[in-house]
Amino acid sequence: MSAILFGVFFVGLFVGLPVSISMGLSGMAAVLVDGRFMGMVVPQYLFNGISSFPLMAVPFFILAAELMSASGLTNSLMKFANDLVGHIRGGLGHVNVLMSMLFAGVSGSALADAAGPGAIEMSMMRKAGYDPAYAGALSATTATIGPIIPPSIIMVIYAISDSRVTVAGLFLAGVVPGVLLGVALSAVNHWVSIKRGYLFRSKRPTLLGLAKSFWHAMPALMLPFIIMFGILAGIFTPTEAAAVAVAYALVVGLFITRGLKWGAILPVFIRAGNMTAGVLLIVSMASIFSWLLTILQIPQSLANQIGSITKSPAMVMILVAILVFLCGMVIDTLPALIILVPVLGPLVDKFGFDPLHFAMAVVLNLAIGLVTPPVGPVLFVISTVGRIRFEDVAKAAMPLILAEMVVLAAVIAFPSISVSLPRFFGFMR
Amino acid sequence: MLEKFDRFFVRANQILIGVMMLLMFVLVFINVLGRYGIGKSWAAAEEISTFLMIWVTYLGAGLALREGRHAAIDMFQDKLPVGLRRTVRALLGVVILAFFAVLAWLGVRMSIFGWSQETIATQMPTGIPYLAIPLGAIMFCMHLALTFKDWTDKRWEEIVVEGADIGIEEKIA
Repeated sequence: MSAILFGVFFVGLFVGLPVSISMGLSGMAAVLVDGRFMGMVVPQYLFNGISSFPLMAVPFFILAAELMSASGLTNSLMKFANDLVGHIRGGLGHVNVLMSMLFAGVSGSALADAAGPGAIEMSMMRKAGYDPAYAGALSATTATIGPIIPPSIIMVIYAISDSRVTVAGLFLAGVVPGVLLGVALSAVNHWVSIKRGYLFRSKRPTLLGLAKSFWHAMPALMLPFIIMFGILAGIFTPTEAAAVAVAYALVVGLFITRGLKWGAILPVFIRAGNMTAGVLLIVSMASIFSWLLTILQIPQSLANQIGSITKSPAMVMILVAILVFLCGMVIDTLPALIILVPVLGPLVDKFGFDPLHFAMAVVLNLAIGLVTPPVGPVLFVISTVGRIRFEDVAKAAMPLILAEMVVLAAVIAFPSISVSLPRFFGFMR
Repeated sequence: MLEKFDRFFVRANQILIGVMMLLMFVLVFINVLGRYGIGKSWAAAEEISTFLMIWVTYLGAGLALREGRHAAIDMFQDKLPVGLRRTVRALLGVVILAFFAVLAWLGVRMSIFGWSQETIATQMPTGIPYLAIPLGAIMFCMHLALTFKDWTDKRWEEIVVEGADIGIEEKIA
């Protein structure tokens, strides 16, 4: 059974079958050939894998971000970021970093950032005279902040796959690492700007101008606070908070900024629906795959194997980090997450890790996997949108990825980076 | 004729997805308002909206295919000469059609099986929400068959990305 499961899966991936279908097909083939289970379990697992109310935060967060963009709030955010840091040396690069951090509070996905603001930042940097590959690399790496600063789609899915952590806890755990990523990337940008003699400052805005752009960006800047306040105060569940975020985005777009026309609402819902289908099909198909992994007792045997190599929790953490990083390099984040979480879960209990710290290390690791070649979905988006060769962006991204790995190492080595904030708000179990 | 059907099919599918998303949002949001406004919440809202999400996923999967939204690793096939790549993609297309055809058949059996069971909150036959999978699988096959040549050529439908016009560029010194 395991031969068919893994054989079909890896061959499918290799020849370019969509990741979701590779998982579904290998699961179906394994079930049908093995014959121990009725064929009907396949659609049943596909159905049950996404029959979850907490999971609905995902389409709502997608929707909220799409509505915010349709209302023109992305532009207001960008202007605010430019007014705030555009006048520093290497200005647009810093604007790129800050914008990704601000946009991360609206959107929960790195791909949304890369395809939206990331693409715009890249073209702005190129027009200003930055090297196209570097502009692309910076837009790609800053996009990985999206799933680290709340809200975050992969954190929602992590919390659903692992009952040891909560969405609220993970969201809070991501705040400090997300800011650290921003600082690290800004530092590299500063260094690159000095090394290559980039100046590219925009004019320093007047205080009044800054206040004005802040005011225009306010509706978007408020969104993460509304979400977090609602969840932390126990007013909403994360799914409800996401729905409230959608309602908020609708009200802001229709009545406050008035950038959203009534006629544009259905198209935005359709677009968000298509994006939801792409994401949740992976979650659905992965559920049959990860069920078979448990049937085959892969998680337990892996935990035992790692346990036989070393007894030191620190060593295990490092081994896990390497394993996750390698997976993140070759598989897409979401499928990697859904496959790895049940596989790695037993290690948390066996070695007594803090589940939240462990989860944060895995999420951050996989987020970095979005920009590591050979399979870096965000790099693909950037190289397609910017028409830059994949190899060139990947090469230019190296120092930036290295900076992100330093942050990852810090998050792994110092649990307090991720755990302090959730602990302060009482979200530790 | 086929082209006309294709356009109608896509439009109908899109509107279906949009309306289901809208309904899903309205149900959840009204439930939140209801809980704080009149102190009541409606358990069925949670269940129906969850089913709607599953329907959006499976009935929207074909549209997502047309827009190239199903992530795949194309590294290997991109190294092939164009003719061979087309053949490989055509074969993959056939594999995908077969997969969804089998899934549709298994899904129909599951729905028939589920017809005699009831869901928890609304007590409708479980077979009704289950239908999302066979219906979605059939629609996915139709979308793929109608755009099979685009699939083999790896030509996706236009995804409109709105540009930004904020005039930052002029301000760069």
